[in-house]
Amino acid sequence: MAERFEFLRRGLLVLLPLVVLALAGTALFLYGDFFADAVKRFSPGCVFRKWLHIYCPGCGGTRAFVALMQGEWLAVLKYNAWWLPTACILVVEYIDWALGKLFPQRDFPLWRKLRIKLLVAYAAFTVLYVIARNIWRF
Amino acid sequence: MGKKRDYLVWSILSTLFCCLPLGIVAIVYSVKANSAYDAGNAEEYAKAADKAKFWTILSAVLGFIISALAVLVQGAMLFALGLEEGGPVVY
Repeated sequence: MAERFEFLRRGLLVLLPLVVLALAGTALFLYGDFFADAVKRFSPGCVFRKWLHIYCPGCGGTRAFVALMQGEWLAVLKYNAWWLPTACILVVEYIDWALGKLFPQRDFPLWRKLRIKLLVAYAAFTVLYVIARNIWRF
Repeated sequence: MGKKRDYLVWSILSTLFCCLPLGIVAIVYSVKANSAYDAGNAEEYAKAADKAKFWTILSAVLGFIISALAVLVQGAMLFALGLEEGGPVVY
C-alpha cells in the first residue's frame, strides 16, 4: 500500500511540469498578442550584440517569440534556429528525469545511449551555430 | 559514483536568458559530465561537473549584472535625453 502511494506521489510530481506547461501554453495561445506586445515593449535587447557585436545562441529569441505568438512558424526559425533543438533537448531531459522518478531502480541502457548521443549532437550544434552566426552575421 | 549532478538544463537556461556566450562552455561541460557519468569514469565526471557548475553560475551572475547595468545605462540615457528636450521622461 505504501509503495503504491509512493508511486502515485511520484507520478503526480512527474505530471506537474506538464500541467504548468499546458497552462502556460493555453495562456500564450489565448493572449499571444498581449505577451508579444509586452515582450517587444520591455525587452532591453541583447547587450552583448549591441555593445560587443557578439551573437550568442539566444540572440533573436525575442523576435522569435513574437513571431511564434503571431503564428509565423518559418520566421521563428529564421530569427533563432537554436530554439527548436533546445526545446527537443529539454523534452529529452524531462523524459530522463521522469524515468528516474518513476522507476528509480530500473536501468534503460538503450535510452541512456540515445540520450547521450542527442546531448553530444546538441552541444556540437550549439557551438557550430554560434560560430556560423558570428561569421555570417545572421 | 554517488548521485549524479546534472547542470545541463541550468546551463541552457543561463545561455538563453542571460544572453552570454559563456553559457555555451557550461553546456559543453554539462554534456561532457553526462557522457563521463554514463561511461562510469568518476574522475572525469567530477571534473566536468565542477566546471559545468562554475561556468553556469558565472554565466548567470555576469549576465544578470551586465543586463542590470545595461538597463541602468539605457534608463539614464533616456532620462538625460528627456531633460534635454525640456521635459521629464514618462515611462
